[in-house]
Amino acid sequence: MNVMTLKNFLPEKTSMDSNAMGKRLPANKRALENTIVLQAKNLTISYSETSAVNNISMSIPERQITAIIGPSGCGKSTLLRSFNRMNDFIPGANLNGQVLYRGIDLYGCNVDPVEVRRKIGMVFQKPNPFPKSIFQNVAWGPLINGYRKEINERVEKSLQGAALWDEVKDRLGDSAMTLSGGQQQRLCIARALAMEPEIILMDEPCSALDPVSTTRIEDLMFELKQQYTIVIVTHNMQQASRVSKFTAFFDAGNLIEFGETKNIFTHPKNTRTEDYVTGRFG
Amino acid sequence: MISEDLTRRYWIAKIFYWFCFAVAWTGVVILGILLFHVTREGIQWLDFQFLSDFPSRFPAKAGIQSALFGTLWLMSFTALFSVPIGIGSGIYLEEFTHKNRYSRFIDLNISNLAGVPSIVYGMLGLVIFVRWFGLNQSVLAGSMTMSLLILPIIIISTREALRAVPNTIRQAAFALGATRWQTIYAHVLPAALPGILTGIILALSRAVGETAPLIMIGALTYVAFVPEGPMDDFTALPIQIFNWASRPQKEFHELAAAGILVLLFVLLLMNSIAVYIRHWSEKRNR
Repeated sequence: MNVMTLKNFLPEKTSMDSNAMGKRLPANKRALENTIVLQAKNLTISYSETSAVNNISMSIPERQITAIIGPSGCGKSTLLRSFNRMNDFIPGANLNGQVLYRGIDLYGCNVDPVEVRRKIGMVFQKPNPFPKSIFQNVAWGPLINGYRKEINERVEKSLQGAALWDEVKDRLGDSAMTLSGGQQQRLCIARALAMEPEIILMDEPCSALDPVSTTRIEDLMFELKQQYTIVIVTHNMQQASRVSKFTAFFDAGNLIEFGETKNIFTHPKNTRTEDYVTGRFG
Repeated sequence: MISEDLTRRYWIAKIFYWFCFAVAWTGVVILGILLFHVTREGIQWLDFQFLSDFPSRFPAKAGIQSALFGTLWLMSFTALFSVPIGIGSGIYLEEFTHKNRYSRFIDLNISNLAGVPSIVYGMLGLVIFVRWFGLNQSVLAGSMTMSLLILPIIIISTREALRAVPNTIRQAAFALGATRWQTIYAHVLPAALPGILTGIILALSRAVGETAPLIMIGALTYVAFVPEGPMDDFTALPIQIFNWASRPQKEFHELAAAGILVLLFVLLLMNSIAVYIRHWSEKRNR
């Protein structure tokens, strides 16, 4: 079974000495020897009667970009939204199994969903800045969460992190709605960065953008993975192959294959995966 | 080359256009005739003395000060009661409840309440506020009755304004670790504010013109003083107009017309405030 091979593939290790251990491992395995920050265990998500994600298990390594691909309606967005409890707002959504963040079950009874979303940020499909000034867009998250000190520095750092600072530094008071689509999406990324999260979930962040803006966001993702763990859902297979280190292929709510991106795209083990990445369906 | 059939279709389109044009202008023309008629009758009485005098048996001395101030008192207290309750209910129903049988039941009832004739609210006010609470025919009893009357309108327009706020805004706020109240207070309410305020002012404009419930609760028709507190007796513009219009003398009919002009002016003022607020907050939100 794929899931089983995967478990051997990506050890559940969360210790800090993984690098030391890595030295003793063969080169190809060392690349995978990452600390796991997020882990889905036997996760099933259903809406009322229909199930969207069927009993999947996967591990998201730290400070890497993990892509989730698959045809429309395969449950990839649902899975992504379960990682920071955004499915809580969908009436009738039901979850079984576990989502572990550094070993803590995010759906455990003593876990507050608001706390989860502070640690695990999200960027949405369509740029959705608040209809307020650029500054307020970035500062609002920290302010409501009680970080009042050095807010200006935090805003500047976040905007720089999202590669937007130089374009907006002279007009922080302007409405975010005056920015272009690509700039708005980078503002949304800056807004997420301002919370200093550990993980950033991106739900098709480039699907509403033109190719130039898409390239800028992808470059930005390379920068961000130095510091953050990124999980990206994408319809665009070229994008997945360009940016991600690991790729998970979903179909009809099942995790078909998960592994290093280059293997998924060049030597897929499953014929369904092969059909999808070569464009025969989906 | 234009075929026979196409010519016919163009004709149908043209006829429909003129039909819509005529229908749209009918309302304007009727309002114009009404305004013209009322103005011609009442304009001669409309002066400062008319605004500052109390009602009188003698048409030349009669004025509407008590009615005008009564209306102001009534509207202030109506707004005080209905706005917080209306907005609160709207927020609760739209943002906090899930869509289920229970919330649909509340929905249906509020829509029905919006259609209940105003005289029925008047009877309710008479029994509960005037008799039961012992408020007599005071400003307080009147404004509580009026609040009941316009609450459904405020709730419905609040909900519609909230529903028009894109869900992506809420999600963005939630994803930053905001609580539901922080999300509503900082983003949803400001975005919905123009719609909510317009709804409130339109509801209050309806209340300004309501006569039946006030007559029902026994608001006085002859008041020679200005109310000084919420427990004072009062009269209101529509009641004064009704009173004058039902007298036999021609002069009083003309006074009624002048009163209507004042009432229309108050309405126009309120509607322009609504338009202004809408414009102002839309500009702020852009």
